[in-house]
Amino acid sequence: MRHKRLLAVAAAVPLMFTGTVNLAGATPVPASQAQSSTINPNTILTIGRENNTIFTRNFNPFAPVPNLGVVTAIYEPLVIYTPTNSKYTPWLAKSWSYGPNAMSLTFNLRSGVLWSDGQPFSATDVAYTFQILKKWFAGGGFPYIKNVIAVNPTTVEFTFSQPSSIALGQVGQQVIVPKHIWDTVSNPVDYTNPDPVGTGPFTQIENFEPQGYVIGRNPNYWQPGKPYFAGIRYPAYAGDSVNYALYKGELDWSDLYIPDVQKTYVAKDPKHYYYFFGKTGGTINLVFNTTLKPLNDAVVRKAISMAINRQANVDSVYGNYTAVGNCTGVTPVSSWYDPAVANSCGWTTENVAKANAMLDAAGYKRGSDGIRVSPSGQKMEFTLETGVTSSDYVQSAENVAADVKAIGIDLVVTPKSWSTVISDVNLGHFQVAHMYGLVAPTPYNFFDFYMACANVVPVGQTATENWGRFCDPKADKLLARMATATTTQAQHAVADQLEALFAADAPAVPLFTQPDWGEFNTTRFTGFPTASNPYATGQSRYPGAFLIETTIKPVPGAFPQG
Amino acid sequence: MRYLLTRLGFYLVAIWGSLTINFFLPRLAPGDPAATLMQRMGQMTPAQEQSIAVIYGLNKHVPLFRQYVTYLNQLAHGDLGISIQFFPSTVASVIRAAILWTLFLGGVSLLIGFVVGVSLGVLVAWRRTRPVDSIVTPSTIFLASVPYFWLAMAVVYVFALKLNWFPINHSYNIDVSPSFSFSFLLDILDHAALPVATIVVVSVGNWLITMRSTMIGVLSEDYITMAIAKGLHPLRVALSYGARNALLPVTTSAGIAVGFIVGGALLTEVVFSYAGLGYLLYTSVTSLDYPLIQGLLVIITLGVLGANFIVDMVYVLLDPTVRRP
Repeated sequence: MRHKRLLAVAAAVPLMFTGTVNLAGATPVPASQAQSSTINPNTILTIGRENNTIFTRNFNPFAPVPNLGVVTAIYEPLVIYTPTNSKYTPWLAKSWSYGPNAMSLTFNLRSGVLWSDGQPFSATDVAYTFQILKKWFAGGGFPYIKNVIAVNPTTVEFTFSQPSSIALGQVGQQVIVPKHIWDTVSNPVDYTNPDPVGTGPFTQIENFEPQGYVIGRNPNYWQPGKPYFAGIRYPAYAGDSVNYALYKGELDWSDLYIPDVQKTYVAKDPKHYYYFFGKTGGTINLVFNTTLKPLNDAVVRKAISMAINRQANVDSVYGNYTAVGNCTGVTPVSSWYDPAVANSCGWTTENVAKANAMLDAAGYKRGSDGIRVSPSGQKMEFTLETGVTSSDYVQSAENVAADVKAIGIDLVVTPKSWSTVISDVNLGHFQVAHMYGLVAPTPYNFFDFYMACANVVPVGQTATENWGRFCDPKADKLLARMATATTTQAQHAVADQLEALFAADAPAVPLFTQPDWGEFNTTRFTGFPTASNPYATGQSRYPGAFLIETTIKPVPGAFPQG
Repeated sequence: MRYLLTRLGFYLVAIWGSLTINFFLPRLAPGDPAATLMQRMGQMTPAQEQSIAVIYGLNKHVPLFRQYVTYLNQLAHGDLGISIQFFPSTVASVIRAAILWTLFLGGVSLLIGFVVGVSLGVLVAWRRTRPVDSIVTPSTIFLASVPYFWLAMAVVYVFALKLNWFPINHSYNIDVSPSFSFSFLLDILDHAALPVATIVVVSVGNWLITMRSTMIGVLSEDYITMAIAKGLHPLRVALSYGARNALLPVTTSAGIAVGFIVGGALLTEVVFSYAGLGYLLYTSVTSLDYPLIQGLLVIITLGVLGANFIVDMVYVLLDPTVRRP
């Protein structure tokens, strides 16, 4: 079964854009955009997502799990980051610049943007959104924001309580709500927002039924002539039946894990069906509890890593859809990837003989049953936890355990419910775990998560980061430097050093990159991203969805005239 | 009358006991809603986690007993709370979205399964050891032991995907708004055909076996021999004398089954993406959505106990010997 992908809205050091960057062809937007008369009302895009049997009429963007389309069609952020090309696309903000030492971040907003009810959008709405977060949501995950000020209707300034060059991806991708509506809401936490007002391309809720709803075109959208079609339909699918719908051609776009996709899907209609899987997801790692001996020994971790046949694992689990893990911790497709570091280390290349030699030399002798024993007398037998509902991870864990047996270490795969696994890793009550990845525009969060001493919490207390409790003070120093580095060059220089440190320390063992799924059907719509034009990933739950929604066009004649 | 009141009293105690178990049981499971949410959403910074805890009210460390009292108090006022998965929609709105479909699917499947199963049971009992019995009984038992999800998926594959005779999923065509029209009714039946058919196929066997065994027991009674000797028509003996008495134990199981309809049909809902409470219950358990779990369990409890109570009353009518003198 497919693993739930995660978008961590954390980020790290951004590229610095001080120039004005416009979308191709977009000019300052005139007041009203009543273009709906020329759009055929039957042109509805159908997106398939799973794990829903019913929907409730709740379009609150602050909900922990917003409904489909709320943050990908109705409400928009200031910038959009796409991992396929490592770009920040200006969205509601035209440009931005950091203050000295990254203690502040100023956005210059587009003018002439309207909310779907015709009221003008301005910096006051941005400031108000963050006020709601601060007052009702304990800061909403941005504790470093000191203040948000609307300097003038098109300029908003964030000031921070500490240097925060990670802010762009975080505050920039927070969706903005209208002050004139939310001002009247007494409790934004409980408000179900049944008739949302947003700036996005689709805002009008039509045909709401528990088993699916349509979000209709925003009559006042700020990009002239866009979107090119009338609405998006989100049907509810519990599980596999979404695959049937995709196969039968009822869906236009989906982001499912489909085994053997060429044979199972594309072959049905090769003219219209295709897939595009970006190797852009987070790195999936084996996490070790480094408070336990001998897991605190880098030799052991590296040896385990060298026993694994990563390519065979990826082939068996994902059928060659993705890239194997490397010792930089960064996916090779990313602009942050440092090939020099990757090529110089050896512990992510399969070499069972060398792994055995390393362990022998370090004093881990084999016992009579073939399982090694540490110098202090501990048997090298560990539990390998993972979530039982993620069958791909369970399979990967089994492959890893089978490989690692060859070097005399016994990993016992122990699938548990994800809530138990998370509880275990948070509290440090685990030995080895096969965990999900972290997605962010820069690797800052990854290294912060796996190596920073500042994140280490004693076993028995809840840690939401650094489950392995690994600490390298050099990492903290480098991360601090990265947080204040304001030029791309300086950021990359520090990131390279962090990658080298990760390669030296091996706090966790990268297995593979989580693929970003995407299946498309061009019978009714064209213009989706492809491998040769990867302007977004196929994930419908990321901000990149806005890029797809404002690019695709209906095929003439595919819909009855409205 | 006293019988009624004592039964009622018993049921009230049973309800209170169930509600208490409903409250404590989900909380015995390891983990907490915020942790499962984190798995769905991704790693969070401590600040984001704190934000979630505030939203869910998990940061206030209220003693468990106080939470229990609040829970009973809210229930008494008909407030089922706010769901965690569907936050901030209320549990009542979530349940309301799906319950009619569950009742429809479960009710229709149970009715058809019961009628077909019981009728066949009468037939094979009356004609036991004849070819009819030798063929029908083992075949329905075989069908009852086929794994349901496998059967459902095979049915969808053959009849919906390949042959295109029926829709592949959903309770009705989502482009159409529900209305009290004949065409909408046909649409519902079209979408319900495969789900109901698959449930009936696997449940017929159970009703048949139960009816058959009680019927055979009844048929060996003296009054049956007497009726046949008197020259009554076989059909009349089978139905008015045999089936009518054999129905009693079967009615009890039917009553309990009616009560469990509100638990939903999880596998049917998953395979057919049919709106319903079964999948909701499943996801609420895996995401530790305490308010929704409690809400659904309350409904199931009331459904089962209510149905049981009705069966108790109906039993009194069906079997006069039960009534206290």
